[in-house]
Amino acid sequence: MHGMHLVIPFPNERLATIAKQALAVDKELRADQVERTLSVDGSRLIADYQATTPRVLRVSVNAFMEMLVMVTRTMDAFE
Amino acid sequence: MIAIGLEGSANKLGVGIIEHASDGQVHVLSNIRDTYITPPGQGFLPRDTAAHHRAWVIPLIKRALKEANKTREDIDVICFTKGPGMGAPLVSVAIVARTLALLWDKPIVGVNHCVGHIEMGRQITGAQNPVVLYVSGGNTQVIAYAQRRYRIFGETLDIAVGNCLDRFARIINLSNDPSPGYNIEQEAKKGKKYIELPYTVKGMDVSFSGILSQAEAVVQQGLSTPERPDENKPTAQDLCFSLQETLFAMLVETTERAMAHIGSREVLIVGGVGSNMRLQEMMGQMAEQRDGKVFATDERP
Repeated sequence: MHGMHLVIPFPNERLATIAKQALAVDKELRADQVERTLSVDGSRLIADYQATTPRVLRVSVNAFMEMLVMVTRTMDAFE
Repeated sequence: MIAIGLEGSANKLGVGIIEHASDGQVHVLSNIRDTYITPPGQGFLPRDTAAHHRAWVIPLIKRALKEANKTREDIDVICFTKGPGMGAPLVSVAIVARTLALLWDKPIVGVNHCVGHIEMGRQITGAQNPVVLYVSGGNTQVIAYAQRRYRIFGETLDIAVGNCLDRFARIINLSNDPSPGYNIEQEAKKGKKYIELPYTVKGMDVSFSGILSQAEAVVQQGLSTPERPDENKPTAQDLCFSLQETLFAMLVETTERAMAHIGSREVLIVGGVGSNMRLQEMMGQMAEQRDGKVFATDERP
């Protein structure tokens, strides 16, 4: 197994919680090969990944980052 | 009540703001769109299409709000296309809709893309209880409303009619700007010879993949071109003309059959291919023979 632990700081707990709720809806496409857990710790969003191969891990984390960028851009534009 | 809607299930990205007034009137306050256009000969792929939508969706939301002269306080509900469509583009737009709903603390509604077309078509045209022909790059369905659901009476068994047209445009290297279907329509007007192609209506359903293969085979056998005219060979324009005549006649037949079945006298054509004037003309002729009426939206991207 290959894992990754991401810690993303937000300005406050409300925005971190919004990010978690928005991102959690879309499930991993290959649930049998990669597991993702999202949680909020204060104003920080925590993403934990467990994947069967480095490639699957990379693809999933890349996709997550693309969506995370959309969340933060939306916050910047409309908060 | 004012809704903001986000659509990005294929290569067109759009943000619209619509007001349902207390008197039941509906007003489109803004409708901002941007189309991802690929070079001639190429179709749009999910990954690149999603990147386009991610780049443009926030500016389009801002422009839609500005053009509608509304702010976040005025918006009552956020709507987005839940599906069907390409996975990556759908997800890229949905994440923004969800984030907005959470930021602004407004309700969110996931909308079926096809129902979106139908309801917009009904609203714009005033059609009451039409047989709906839904034709686009990704969908071909004959639909009627029955027992509180939109029911699919007939549909394509393989590729959508718009997909067939788009892929033929690629074969003859037509421009994708403003859309391959529009450019086929223009070339078809210059066609003079009808080339026989397979006519594949199967009861209420249709099949287009064989027609596309046959059209491609005709192209491979050689076309008459301005540089190398050959009166024994068809021109690209002849093939565009023939393809439209064949595909659209099939759609008219299945739509007519549905009209007869449910006793409707109205046809509503929605979806991108619904913009095609030749399709509207052929459907209009059929409807007129049945003392009926055709509705088509005139919104062109």
